[in-house]
Amino acid sequence: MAGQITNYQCPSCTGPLRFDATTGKLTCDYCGTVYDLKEIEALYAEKDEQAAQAAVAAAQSEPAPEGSPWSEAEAAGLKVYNCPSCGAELIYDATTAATSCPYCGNPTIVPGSLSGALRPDWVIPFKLTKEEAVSLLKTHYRKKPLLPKLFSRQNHLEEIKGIYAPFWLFNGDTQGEATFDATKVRHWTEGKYDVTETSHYDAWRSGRLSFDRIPVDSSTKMPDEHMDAIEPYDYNELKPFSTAYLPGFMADKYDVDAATAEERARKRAEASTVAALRDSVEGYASVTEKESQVSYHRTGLHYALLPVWLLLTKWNGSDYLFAVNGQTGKLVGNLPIDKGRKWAWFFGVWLGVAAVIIGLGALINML
Amino acid sequence: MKKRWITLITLLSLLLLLALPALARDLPLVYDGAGLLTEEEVSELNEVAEYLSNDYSCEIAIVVVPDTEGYYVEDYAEAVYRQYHYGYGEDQSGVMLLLSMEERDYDLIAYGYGNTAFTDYGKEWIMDSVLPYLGQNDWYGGFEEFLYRCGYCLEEARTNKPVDDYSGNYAPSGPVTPGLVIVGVIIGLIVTLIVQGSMKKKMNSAVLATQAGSYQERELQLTGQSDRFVRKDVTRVRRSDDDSRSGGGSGRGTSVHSSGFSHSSGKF
Repeated sequence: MAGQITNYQCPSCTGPLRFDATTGKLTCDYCGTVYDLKEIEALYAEKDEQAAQAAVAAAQSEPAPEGSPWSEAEAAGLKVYNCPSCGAELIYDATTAATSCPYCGNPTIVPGSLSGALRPDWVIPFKLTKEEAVSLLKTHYRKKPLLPKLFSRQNHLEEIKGIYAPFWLFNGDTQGEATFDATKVRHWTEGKYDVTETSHYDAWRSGRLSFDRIPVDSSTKMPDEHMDAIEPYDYNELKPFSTAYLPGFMADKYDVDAATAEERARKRAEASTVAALRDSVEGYASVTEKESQVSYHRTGLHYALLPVWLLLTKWNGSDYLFAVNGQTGKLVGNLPIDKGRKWAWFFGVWLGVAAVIIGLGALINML
Repeated sequence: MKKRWITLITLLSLLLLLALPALARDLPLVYDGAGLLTEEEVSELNEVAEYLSNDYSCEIAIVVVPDTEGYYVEDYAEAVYRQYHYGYGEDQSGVMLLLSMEERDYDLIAYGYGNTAFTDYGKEWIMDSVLPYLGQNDWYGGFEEFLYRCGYCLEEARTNKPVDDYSGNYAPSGPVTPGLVIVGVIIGLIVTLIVQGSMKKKMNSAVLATQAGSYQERELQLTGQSDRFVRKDVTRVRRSDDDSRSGGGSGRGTSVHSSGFSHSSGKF
């Protein structure tokens, strides 16, 4: 089983190597040596292949004994391995591609889960460090008048994970047509009357759009809302995939197939097409959609791992999950709302604005 | 030279002579310029109008014209009132209903003591009752009703107090009007909802994406377009009067324009 694990070790001291988000290189925390990715990739390419072959051979020659304590776990899609550094016996689920030993922190990569047909086309390496992600979260609490006063002081970070999340990237073309109710409005006065004339037009538009790499997260472990909200990623920094980017972070392989995920990309492309058609109706006071029809077809599909920091905090017995774009630092998440503060702000703003308007109006009336 | 002076004086005298008829009211109180009524009906209505006008020292007039010659009905009504010297006594007190048949516009104006006896509410009260007759082209019925209601208003003003809205469901006119308070409260609520919406958005930033605009490769390629006119809606809303109020005691009173007239106008 241990043969299934790739453990990038420092060629100098055999300490575990970790991908450093700041330098974009592999670093040994023990002797401090820094390595280029290509250097280590070349060194381990052969080793990885041998390890994978050995794992297949071992699996074929040594079937799991009956009554094995792990057979149930394996049936549930879980796998077992021994940490190559400390020897601890650990379980991980079938979608795990890179992880760390919870006992010694040794970063390991599970070969096979990101190779062959499952091999991603691209990866965007982490640019944001764990410390930067935590600091962003603390800044996020600031200037939030509705946040309970004690939240930022009392909540504590339960877990922080740097994850290479699997994404499908869809290229697609859309063709659509839509009819809008567009209005032009004229005002004038006739004696004691204000006259408003509203002319209605049926504005019909048809057009085409192309979309480049709409991302849809393909792991059921990652919440869709968070993954959508941390977009966009800068695709200029997409690199051809290499496992050398993974040590020190977790990585998952996809468990939502492309056909299922595409539904979400299709809906977004169609909505954008209708919005673009609406924007093309110019020169009117208002434009309201009456009916639309859009067809979408895929022109390309890619598989990529994109960097995400997940931060889980606990407060008053509830979990609060935040996601940070590991490339751009965009942070999203849902915060608790203090009901007392909410209503105080509501009535405060309401009364304040009403008082200002009435005061100004009264002043004008007096002049 | 002498001849030219004579010509000039003759011309001025002619102009004065022409202007003279306008100095006295040369139209009856009930003037039907559109042939809506029979001579008998006009005569009967005139009798009633004359009687009421003399009794209350406030003229009640009804003037029907084919059109307003392109003027707003309010301006036209004021011009007729002044031009033909309607109004009782020196202060020219009176009330006049003017109908313009082509536009089917009406204007009820009051002047002098008329502004006291015929409050804004009083004018509406009169027209609420008269308009159903005019709407059905029952001219005589409408004018009869008009004279009756005018008489009632004048009697109330003399013996009691002018017909007005004494319900108290309004604030006394001052810098803070009920309309201003309503506008302030409504705009305040809208601003509050926008501010709170933006605050809540900041609290809940993890939301599903609905569009893919940032992944558009290029601008929309339009392949067809047409704009077809469907219909036209016209709405007319009476403008709120912001002129000073006078008269009316503790009621809503009368909105009197700087010209000295108060109006209540619309369509019939």
